[in-house]
Amino acid sequence: MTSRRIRQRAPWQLLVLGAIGAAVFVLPLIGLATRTPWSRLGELVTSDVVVDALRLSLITSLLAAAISLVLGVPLAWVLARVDFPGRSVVRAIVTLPMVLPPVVGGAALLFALGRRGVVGEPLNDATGFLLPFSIWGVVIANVFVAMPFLVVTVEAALRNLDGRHEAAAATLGASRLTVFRRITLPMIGPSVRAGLVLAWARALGEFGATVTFAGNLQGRTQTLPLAVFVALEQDRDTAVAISLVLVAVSLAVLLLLRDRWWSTGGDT
Amino acid sequence: MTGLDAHLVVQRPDGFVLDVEFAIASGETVALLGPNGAGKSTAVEALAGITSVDRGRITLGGRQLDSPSTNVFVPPEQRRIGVVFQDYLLFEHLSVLDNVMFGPVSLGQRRAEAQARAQALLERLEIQDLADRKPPQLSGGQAQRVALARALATEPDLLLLDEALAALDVATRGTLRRVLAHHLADFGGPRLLITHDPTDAFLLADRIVIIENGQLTQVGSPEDIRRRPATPYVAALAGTNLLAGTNHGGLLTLQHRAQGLQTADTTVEGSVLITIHPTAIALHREQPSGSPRNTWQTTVATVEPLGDTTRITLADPIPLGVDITPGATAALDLRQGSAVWASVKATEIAVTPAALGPRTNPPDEVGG
Amino acid sequence: MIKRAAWSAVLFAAIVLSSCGGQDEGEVVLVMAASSLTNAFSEIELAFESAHPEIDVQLNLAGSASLREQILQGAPADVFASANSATMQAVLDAGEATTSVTFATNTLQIAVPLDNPGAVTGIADLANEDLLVGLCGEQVPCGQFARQALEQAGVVASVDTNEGDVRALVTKLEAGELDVGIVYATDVLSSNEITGIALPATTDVVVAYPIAQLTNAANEDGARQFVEFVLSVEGQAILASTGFASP
Repeated sequence: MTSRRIRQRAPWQLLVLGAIGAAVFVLPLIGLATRTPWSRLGELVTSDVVVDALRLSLITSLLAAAISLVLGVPLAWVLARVDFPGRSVVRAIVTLPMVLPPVVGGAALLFALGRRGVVGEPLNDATGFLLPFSIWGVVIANVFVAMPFLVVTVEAALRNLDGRHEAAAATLGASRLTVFRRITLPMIGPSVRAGLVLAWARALGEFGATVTFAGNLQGRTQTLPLAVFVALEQDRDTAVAISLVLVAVSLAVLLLLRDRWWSTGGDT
Repeated sequence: MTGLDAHLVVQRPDGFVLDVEFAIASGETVALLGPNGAGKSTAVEALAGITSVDRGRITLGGRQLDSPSTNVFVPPEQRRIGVVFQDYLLFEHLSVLDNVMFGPVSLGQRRAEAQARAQALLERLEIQDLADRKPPQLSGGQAQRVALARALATEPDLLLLDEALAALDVATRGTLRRVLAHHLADFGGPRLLITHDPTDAFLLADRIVIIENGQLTQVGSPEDIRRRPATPYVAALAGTNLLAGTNHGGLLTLQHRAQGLQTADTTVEGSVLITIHPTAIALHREQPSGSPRNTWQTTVATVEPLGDTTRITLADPIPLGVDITPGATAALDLRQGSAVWASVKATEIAVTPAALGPRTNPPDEVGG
Repeated sequence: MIKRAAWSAVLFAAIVLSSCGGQDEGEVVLVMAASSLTNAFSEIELAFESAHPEIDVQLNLAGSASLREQILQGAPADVFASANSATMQAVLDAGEATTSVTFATNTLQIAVPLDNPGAVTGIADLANEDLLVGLCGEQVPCGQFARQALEQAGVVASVDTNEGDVRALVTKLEAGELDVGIVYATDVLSSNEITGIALPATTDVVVAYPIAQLTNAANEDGARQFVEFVLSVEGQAILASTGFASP
């Protein structure tokens, strides 16, 4: 049944400010488009550098999003539902990567997980496993900066649930895990999806923490943002081409998701 | 021993204290009836296991569910209590069939069996056509039946209906009351109906437990509650007048009232509760002659036309509600402030002993 | 209400004050310098400012190519000191500067953390896959010269990371996160957490550092004075003390 929309007449001040706001995002894209060497684009985009970077970016960002989901949802649940001493401190720490400059995050990761790091050194001595300068370093750097977005979104959604449907499920015999799996998660589904998309997008664009912690090597750690940075100093055309690839990939995913996945209402 | 045995003592953070004790046998429907704020939801939460009692116990089918003294607390998912909630709380992302199957599946039943059982329940409640619909597409009455089916699907030891009809409009409520009565009878275990609506209680329950301000004030069959209300709230439910006083050989001295009355009932002496049904009071323009030994002069406080009867309230010396026909109202030309004579036959004045605690009337007939 | 107004006033004042430069009366000289000049030019800045108290020198340190880009895109600057003749040539070609002068030279060195965890002895060890090898990226002079040296020595390095600039590479070596890298001799000198190992004697890589006053300088006099200072005895002494060789 289609609902009759109430006709909204927007105050012109809001329209003007909104247009300026949109311009903030549209203008740089237009700038990028005007500098694009369209005739050479095909050849630039299929070069080794770009293909390697794209592959790395997709793999690491998706892995980071997945890890953020698996660890972030339970973390959000604990922060929202379990009242433990120091909870607000933990929540502040979890949100810190959103506020810190990513390079600081990368440096901190190095001190903790690098070869001479607090955890990294014993790990390396024991297993020979090394995180920096490997693809896993990129993934970890991405998780560090991206997971907070998912945690914050999901925690807010969990707090908004009044718990009554979950109580009803319990009276029907569902164990706590079943309640979480079959009732809580579906009820916060849209928020989980939104948080996942945010986390993935943040991971895709990550630069500072990656270059500081994982280093920069084509084919192993050089993701698209790093490739742009390097190319910018040598070959502007390649830099623009890579930027275009980044924008295209991001736009494609965000458009595919559309309102359906952003809004909290269902589309039944 | 099957059935529910509950003594719920819960202290809420806002200072409210719930202290009620009652038992429900298998096959018996008890209504927990009280005004809003009486503590009914607190009782529901304690029984369902959402909160725990501070003192007391909950025993169901011989199993201890909650017993602070022996440190026993069974979580909700193990209590086997089927609850129909006031706003149904259907799972909106699941179909009707999946909702009804949810309990059995959660308890470990195989999907095929659970589905068969769910289908059977839907048929019994005559909503099998709704199996694939989602809750937002259901009407209030349909949702209520789904909620009932969902609760019954787990074959619980106790069926708990929390204000199950409250969310429905008057017409639907009437229909569903009948549906409920029919299916409650089919359920073999104890059934607890939580409600603020006396009609639900009177029509569906074998026994009514009145709860006011966290305490039990009366327990009895609907008939007893109606005939011998123990508190003003219950009297108002029953639509009758309730006074307090003392009885000495038929002579009633009313508390705080100068006017006395006479009753034909001399069996109950001392402190009593006096009930006079609104239709038992006659009004006259002049002092009546004849049999009624209870006549007094009074004034009309309010006149309220209510369709085919008119509710008159009388002022001092004895404030009472009187139901008379609109015709009589017109004939007597009654309006606010009119001077009238009231009379009641001694045989129409019922007295019961005033008790300090909750009153348990022995049922007149077994089965209510 | 009053609290809110007070906060707005504080915020506004902070924004205004931060956007104003330090002094509104003195002169400013904006110097773009390659990151390998960090230590040397920091000292030169202090010495210059004490000689010319009315001038405030503001250093913008970054990779030479990055600075070149900024200048070509029109960023305000008075002086450009590069670690690489190619980048300076690009600036000259674009007309952003008329002439340049070489004011110092540098050499490369192999660098290892103090405790030499990789037991590195020479340039050949950079081919060792088991070691964590870092180089500057090809887009910066340090990286280009390092690769020249490797080619001359006939070594194919097993590189694990191409750092964005030489300072980042030095930092990771200092932290022990890398086993070996190729940096400037000046970097080895200025850090007491890395040790230098000489490149093969046959290595012929000389890094020439040109400096130029930019044509669009806002402060032409100040720019000229700064360049002269760098070329002066005092400037050259500072450069020598930080490990640079004379031009």
